[in-house]
Amino acid sequence: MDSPRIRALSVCLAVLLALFVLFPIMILFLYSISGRWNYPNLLPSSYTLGWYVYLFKYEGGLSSLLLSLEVALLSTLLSVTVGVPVSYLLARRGIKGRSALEAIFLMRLVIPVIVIAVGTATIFMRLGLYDTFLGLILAHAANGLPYVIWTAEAAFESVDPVLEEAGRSVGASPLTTFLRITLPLALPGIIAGSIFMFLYSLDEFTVTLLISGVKYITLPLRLYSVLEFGYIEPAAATAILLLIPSIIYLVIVLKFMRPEVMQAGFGRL
Amino acid sequence: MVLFIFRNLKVIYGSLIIYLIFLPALALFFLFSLVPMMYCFLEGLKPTSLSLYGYILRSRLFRDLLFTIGVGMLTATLSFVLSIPISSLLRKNVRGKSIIQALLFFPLVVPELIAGYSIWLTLMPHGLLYNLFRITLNLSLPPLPDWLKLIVACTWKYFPMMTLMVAAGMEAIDPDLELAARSVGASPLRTFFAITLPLLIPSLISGYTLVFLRAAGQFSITLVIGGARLTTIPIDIWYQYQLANMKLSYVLATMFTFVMVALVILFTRALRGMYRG
Repeated sequence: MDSPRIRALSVCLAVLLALFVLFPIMILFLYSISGRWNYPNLLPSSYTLGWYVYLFKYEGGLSSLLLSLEVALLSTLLSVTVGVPVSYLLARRGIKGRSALEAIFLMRLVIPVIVIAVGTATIFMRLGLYDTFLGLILAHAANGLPYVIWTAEAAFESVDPVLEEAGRSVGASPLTTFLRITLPLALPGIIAGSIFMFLYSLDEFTVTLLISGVKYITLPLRLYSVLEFGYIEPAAATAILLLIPSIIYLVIVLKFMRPEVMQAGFGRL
Repeated sequence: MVLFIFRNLKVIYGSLIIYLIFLPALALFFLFSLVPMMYCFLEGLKPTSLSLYGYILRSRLFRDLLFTIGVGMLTATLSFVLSIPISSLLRKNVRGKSIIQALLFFPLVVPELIAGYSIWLTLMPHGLLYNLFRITLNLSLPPLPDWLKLIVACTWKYFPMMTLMVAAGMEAIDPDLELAARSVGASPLRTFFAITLPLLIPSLISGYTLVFLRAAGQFSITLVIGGARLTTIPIDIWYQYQLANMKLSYVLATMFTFVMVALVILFTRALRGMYRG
């Protein structure tokens, strides 16, 4: 049993944590909906949604949003189709790829993103993929692939092999067993990994900045170009727009996912 | 021989299928992720570019390297200090535990660019926070230097990684150990330093490594907060690349990566030494 002093201290700590985490994002949101906000006033004197409209009308926000969604969707599709079978084999067949996969993860953790970005830009210039739609998709899919494989492998591993054997013993073919038993059971994890990959692509900034020039400007690049000019309110609106999918993902994960799957994704964010 | 192949046809066929399944994933990853990574190092280690290492050590880039390492270490240390009270709070079965966990996960899903920008907005002189201090406490705070803003932003974005590690470590400690120390008359503070902290070293190692690597190697937060003026090594790599000084940027990238790996090994060794000693 805690003394009231310790309990009060705990509450204080929790409130401080909440302030520290949420205050900056609240300010961001406030800027994105502020109409008039003159210096001596603590809060804006009027509110408006006009910055979102402005963003879509004049700053190319809509085309960037659509481009970002397209790239994220296609690169996720590519990496999931290519990655999920691999993760199944890694989880079930005992192929000696686990340690290699872990080494690759470790390498991705150690090597700064900007190094990958500079290398990718150089290679893409040579291959003629610089500032192309295909280039964006390939770079995002390749860099996000380890996340997909990792989460899907964790999902397949959490399926009890006994269930598969039961399927086989009543005469189902390996394919039927996989489609009717293994895949449905592993699906939540695979979906979590796919959403994670989708968000990675949606938010990817550094590599995209270096491999795209003027034609393909994704939403994060748009945010950067707007804030570079010092337009605070439209930049804040872009940031809030980009933040919405991440928050939805967080809610889904906290509500529906098992902690193991969550750890597999978050630990390597 | 032919008979052997014939007998094992099914096995060979099976493993062939396995390799065919692996092929597209490997091709995608190797061509567009691994080769670009390696390309920098190959270019950076060419004999013709070796003279540039001496140049880096003599120029202001060396100061930038020290600054970048400093940012990483300060962020990791600050995250650890923040993590101790939060994870001891998580260890108790308080009612709002899931809310605290959700709060911890929140910065992890916020993109770095947005994290940097919102911290920049928050710490802007004449912004809401400064105004709040002026109105309520009649206190006019001095504007923070860019490097401090950078550390605040990095801590905001990365401290949950450390906290989750430390919380997992604390969960694993048997409370009886601490109770035993308390029962022989040790103060709570002494118990913490003598019992809890040493047992936390393994999670401290992984958390420190993770946060240090992220904070020192990140690019977008620095770009948003300081533009090209706040020169960490990732910004220098980008800047030299923009100036078409390809060689210098490859050499910087190579050197930086090796320094990071060396430092991580060093930290791990040093912290392990503390664990044993």
